[in-house]
Amino acid sequence: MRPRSPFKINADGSVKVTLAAWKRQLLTDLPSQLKELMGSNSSSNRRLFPNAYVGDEEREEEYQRYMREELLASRMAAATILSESAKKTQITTDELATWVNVCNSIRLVLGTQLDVSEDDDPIEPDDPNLQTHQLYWWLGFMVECGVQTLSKGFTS
Amino acid sequence: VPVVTPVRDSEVVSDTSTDIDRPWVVLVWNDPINLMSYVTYVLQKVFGFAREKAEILMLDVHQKGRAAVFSGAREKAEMHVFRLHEHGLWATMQQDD
Repeated sequence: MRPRSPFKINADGSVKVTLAAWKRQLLTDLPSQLKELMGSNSSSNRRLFPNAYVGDEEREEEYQRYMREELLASRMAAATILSESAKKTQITTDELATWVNVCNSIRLVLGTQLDVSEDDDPIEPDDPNLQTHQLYWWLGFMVECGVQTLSKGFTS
Repeated sequence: VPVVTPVRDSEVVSDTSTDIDRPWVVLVWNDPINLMSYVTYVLQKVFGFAREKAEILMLDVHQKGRAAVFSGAREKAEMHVFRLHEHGLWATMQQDD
């Protein structure tokens, strides 16, 4: 059975969040770990800071010189917003968009570490990375639910 | 015997114009991590696409490996690439040929 979405739009447009305390604790702690990782030069960062120009080193270097700092600042700010709002029972849709953004960033790091591919076999219960896989899956669920809630706000 | 050689003339003109006008194309690449629903959502959010258009582009990314989501001036292309990176999508830009 599919678990229920933790997000529900209130009549006033805000978002009601229903989550167990330990999950809120995860959403408080994971962004700090992400910030620490972003400050390092770990190779699990690579999906967070992709190249813009392919086959044009000069332009790529110039792009990174101007934009990398800005991208890092944006990611850091987003991580702070999630860890500071993770225990709220009511958030704005802007905050939810940030939750989705940061959960996705953490997935990018975990997915890189786990080296996931589109046709991976199901995870065995004795897999040494079982917990990381479960966290990866749960963050995917959070992203999916968040996107579903936020998409209701698009007028198209 | 023709007095002028129009072919050569037009070649010169078109060479100059393609160099200046050749648009920059922003590509989104397939990756095994980002969820399909998330890619659709980001394309709607960043470009203001209708859901149907965003879904078609997302399926192109998923099935063909990549999709062109923008074509135009370099500065604008860079801005879009930045926004897509901010959302964790794997985007690059290149000049159209």
